[in-house]
Amino acid sequence: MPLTLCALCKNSKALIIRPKDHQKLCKQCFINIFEAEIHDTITSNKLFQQGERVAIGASGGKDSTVLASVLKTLNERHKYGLDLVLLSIDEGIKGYRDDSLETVKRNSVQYGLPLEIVGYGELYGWTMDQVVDQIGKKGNCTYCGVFRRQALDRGAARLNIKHVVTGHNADDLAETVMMNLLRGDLPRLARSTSIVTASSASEIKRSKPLKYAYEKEIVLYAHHQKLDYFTTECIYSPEAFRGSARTLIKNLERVRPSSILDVVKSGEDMAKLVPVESGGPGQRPGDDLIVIGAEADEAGGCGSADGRGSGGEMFIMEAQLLENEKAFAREVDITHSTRTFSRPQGPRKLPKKLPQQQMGKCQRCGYLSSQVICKACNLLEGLNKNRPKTSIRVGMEEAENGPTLTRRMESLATDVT
Amino acid sequence: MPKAAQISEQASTGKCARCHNERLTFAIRAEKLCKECFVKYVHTKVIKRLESNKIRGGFNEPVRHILLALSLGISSVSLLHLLDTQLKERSQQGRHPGFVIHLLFIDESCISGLTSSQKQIQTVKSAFSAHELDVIPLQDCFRYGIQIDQYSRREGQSEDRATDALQRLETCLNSVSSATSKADLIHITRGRLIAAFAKQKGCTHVVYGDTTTRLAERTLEETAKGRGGHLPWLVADNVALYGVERSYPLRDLLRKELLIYASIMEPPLTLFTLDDAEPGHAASSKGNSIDLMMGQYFASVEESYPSIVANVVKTTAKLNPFISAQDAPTCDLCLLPITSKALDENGSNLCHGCSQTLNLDRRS
Repeated sequence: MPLTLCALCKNSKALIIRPKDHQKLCKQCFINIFEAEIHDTITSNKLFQQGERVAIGASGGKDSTVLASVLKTLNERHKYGLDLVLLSIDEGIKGYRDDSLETVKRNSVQYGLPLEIVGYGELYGWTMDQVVDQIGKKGNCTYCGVFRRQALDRGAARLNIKHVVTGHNADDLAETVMMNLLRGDLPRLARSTSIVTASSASEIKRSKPLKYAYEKEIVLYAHHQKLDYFTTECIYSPEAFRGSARTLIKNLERVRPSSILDVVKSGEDMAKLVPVESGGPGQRPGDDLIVIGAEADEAGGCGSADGRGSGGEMFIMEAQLLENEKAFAREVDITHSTRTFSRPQGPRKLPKKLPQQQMGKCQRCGYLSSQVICKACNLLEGLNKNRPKTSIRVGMEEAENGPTLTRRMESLATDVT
Repeated sequence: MPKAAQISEQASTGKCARCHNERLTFAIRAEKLCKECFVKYVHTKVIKRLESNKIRGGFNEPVRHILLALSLGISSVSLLHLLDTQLKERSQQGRHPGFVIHLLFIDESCISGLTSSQKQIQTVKSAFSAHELDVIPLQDCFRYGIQIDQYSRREGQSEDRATDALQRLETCLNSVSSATSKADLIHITRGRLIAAFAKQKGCTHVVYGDTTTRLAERTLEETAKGRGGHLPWLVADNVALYGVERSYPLRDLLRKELLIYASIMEPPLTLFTLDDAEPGHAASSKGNSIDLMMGQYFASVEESYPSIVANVVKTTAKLNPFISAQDAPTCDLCLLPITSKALDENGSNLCHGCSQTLNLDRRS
């Protein structure tokens, strides 16, 4: 069999078939082109400024490890002048996060980048394991998502950093596009593909330099660069919509490798078509990069494998839509012209001054929020309310095994997708 | 997809939710309906669409000429049956018809190697003799000035006008690499040919038989092909495409509902259908393609989550085509606006989706 030469340098033996376009490349050319494409993403979107301090959201997984490695390389090669820091969140999930944090600690040494770890335990008084003990395996991703967004911001604020980069890759974004189509979520569709999200809900800017990088290429890069990363995915349940979208994307990639980027491209184009009233950028040119109101994303889960909600999410939504349909028949149109204010319910002392309409600070924790009490504090209130009860009624053993088993059975019953 | 046997399984004896009679009922979304109420339900959904899309001319208005694109799949045959029934009822009641339908079947048997449609066409012609039915082969696109081989021809091939149209079409279709691209190219050609024919016939509207399920499939298919920015033109109602307005009167009905409808008619509408015309594109059955995959995916989603399927279509309908498309240059192949910066590398004037299909721009 004749030796296939690398399609780019035509010099060395081709070892890698690029997942993205099936180009046959040698190892060095693959690494070069992978880095060059990320450099291109960074420069064409003007992601960074000279001298900027940037925190890399590091989980120890392949995406963030590759991101850290590539950013360090490019920063030195192209003189971005960035001051890079690793920022990790410790959700407090035994058997998952404690191990992956060890990886991040090693990365910190390997790349010579300082590391800051922010724990759910220290911030909220609740680790994810404790949250799961309390509320079970269903719906805990909501807590994790809300907590994580704040935790990243707080970690960045502690380091006095205004820009966090995350390892979301093209597969993640394509999945999100499909997921939001399936969920009929136009506001999220409008913003999920933007490479930078700056919002009124946070002083911290976020960006995704790996937005156009294929997951498979990230794995290849990590493999050939012999990067040290952690492969286990979160032990708690992934949600049905994302799971369904994920399978779909993987199948699409098999049929037509370019599909992943095509979906991302579709997502970007669709975002421009989302009407302003549904959270779209509307007709203001140039607005499509800066997204307003990303606060709602707080409810978003973690981008890596799983997201918000439970395994039965599709089932729940189906039931809701069916209810809506039935209710629609009984509906009478009444137009109501006065402005409406939405405030959190419950007995709580309102502040002396009237709360601001715009973004204010959470009364409890001081985090930026459009509500009097921010989402994280609301969730915490619910958690804390129940805390003493459970510790009196159920022993540890039971709390761990009892609900888990029942819920596992439930999710088996509902999770047929 | 449920077959006739499964459909009868779905039926059970019980109280109809609308007429409250003890009858044989079918489980339709939230309720159980008897045959009569179910047929009424289907007709109402279609009439609502015809009216809101202003397809049926009102009293004292000129009669509208609409073209029904027939694929001989269960959906387009059902649409024909529904519209035909309505026209008959109105004429019996002595009311103005509001519209006239012309039928068009695009014959693709020569390129897809599928069963000949001759027999079915004759059956349709005799059963629906009130409507004019034309059959034109796909390669007639060249006669209508649709130069789909504008880009593929370049590769050393001479632009010989005398070349047999079929051969020219085949060469063009063989120039694309995958089953997905081939199906996509056929789909675009078919759409443009139908519109060109409609214009020539003096029709202002083209109606397609796509169901909710099919439209949801198409939404995700087109997204996967990088045509997300064109969705409003492709799956929304009342958007002018190629000079005629297109709409989907069956957009509020699920495929499984239509299958029940087709099976309870006398005679069953499957009498008129070509087995391989469903779902979607016949040509995609060769080799795995995005279309085929999406068809399988939605067949399973529709089973358990029909409302989610409907919600995808409702959501997509909210996308506004006029936000970003004004004054944009149009793609040479699909003729839709190129909304983001053109891929000029090959001196081509193609949208992202078409350039992926023609594979001119290998790395993008």
